[in-house]
Amino acid sequence: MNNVDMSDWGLPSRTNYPYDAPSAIELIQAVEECITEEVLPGSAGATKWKLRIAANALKIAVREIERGNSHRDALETIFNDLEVIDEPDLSRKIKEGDYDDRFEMLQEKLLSIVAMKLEVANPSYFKSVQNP
Amino acid sequence: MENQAEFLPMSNDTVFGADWLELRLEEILGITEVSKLIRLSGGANRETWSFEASTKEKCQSLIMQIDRDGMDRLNGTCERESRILQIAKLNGVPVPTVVTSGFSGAPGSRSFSITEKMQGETIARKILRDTQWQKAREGLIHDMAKALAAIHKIDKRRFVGIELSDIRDPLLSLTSIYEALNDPHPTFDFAFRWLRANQPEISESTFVHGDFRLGNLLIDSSGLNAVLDWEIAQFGDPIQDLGWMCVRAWRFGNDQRVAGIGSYHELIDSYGQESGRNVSTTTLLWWEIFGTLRWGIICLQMGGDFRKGRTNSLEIAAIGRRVAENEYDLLQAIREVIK
Repeated sequence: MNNVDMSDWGLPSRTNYPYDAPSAIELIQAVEECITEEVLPGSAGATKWKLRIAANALKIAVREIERGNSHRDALETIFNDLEVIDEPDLSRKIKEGDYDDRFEMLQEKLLSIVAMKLEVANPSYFKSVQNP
Repeated sequence: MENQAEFLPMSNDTVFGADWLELRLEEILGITEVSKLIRLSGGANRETWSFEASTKEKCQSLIMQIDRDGMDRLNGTCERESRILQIAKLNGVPVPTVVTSGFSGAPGSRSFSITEKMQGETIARKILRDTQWQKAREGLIHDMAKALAAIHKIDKRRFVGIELSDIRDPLLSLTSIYEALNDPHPTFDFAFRWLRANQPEISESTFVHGDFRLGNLLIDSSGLNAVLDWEIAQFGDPIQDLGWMCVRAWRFGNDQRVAGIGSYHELIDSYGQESGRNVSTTTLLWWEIFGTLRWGIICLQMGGDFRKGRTNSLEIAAIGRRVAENEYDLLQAIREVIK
């Protein structure tokens, strides 16, 4: 035993005390990769279709966990700029016409919020809309 | 969501199984043997099965559709649709011939319809990309415009006895659904406000299909073969059917604005020729934006069916996350207009 080189046996530090690794996000990623790389290639028809949806759902979950904190911080800043406390409050003020004289400003702020949602839900969706 | 072939074993269920089908068909076709019963699609609101019905005289390929199990608000839709199909057929709209329809039990229970099986493709991505459908694609905008003109021309009195909504104020109708869901989405409120401020005058109310787009159209090598999925047909402004197929979701990843195939100009011209209606680009764009909001709210509602435990379908759960796509499209489209 004393002759074995153990210098690279050290494990990466855990981020999810008191739990063991892999963490929640790492587990989800592992399942997604297992579906995409091992199970999907051998499947067909409805099963293949469902597995694609499943893998995609797991990717959304991973992105939400990764970006949730920074997105929530950015959302707070936008709410402050718009002088609202949360989304229901913003909805109510839009309905009441509070931003009718600042429609373009509101439009840009909403786009910032939606961009965060889309970055998590479907990042391949971003592109300009062409003219009719 | 697109349909995807699904091959499940033959069902011997007491209702909607092969034995049950044979009894049902005996009343109409005489002694019938049912074989090759396979489930075809993973459509969100109904099950679709294909089978062969053999009688002494002939063997026919038929399609059975059944209301989705466990979703009471959908009960009756297949039976109602079969009555609409018969009227559409009599009025020159390309649709499958109805063999029979009814309820699994008492009226109000799950309903079914049985129609002839027509040849062709419904999967939008295949229609848009496979070389096999290239010739069909060339005339498709015109085919769709022609079918829509025929649908919009049907005398509303033909539908007496069929419960159809008459949507005089489409924004109010959509608002009431959105408000009932009680899940505020500021971008939807923004879009409602813009749509209300820019609403074109609604000049007439006709019979409308309500979900006219690729995925609900059967295409064969020469073009449009049949218009399917009439479950949300109603009365309203006919231009909504044109705007709906321009919604980005129904371009299925293609760039072309109308159904992923053509331009506003082509659609307006063809529909004008067939219907005599002169549609402006502004009006069509308003209905496209309305359609985007409508699809966004449908995504919210369908995702809600999962959130409330009415379905455990992963496909429906995932639709909940498509709300953001529509919010993005709404903001982009409105930005273009106010620029």
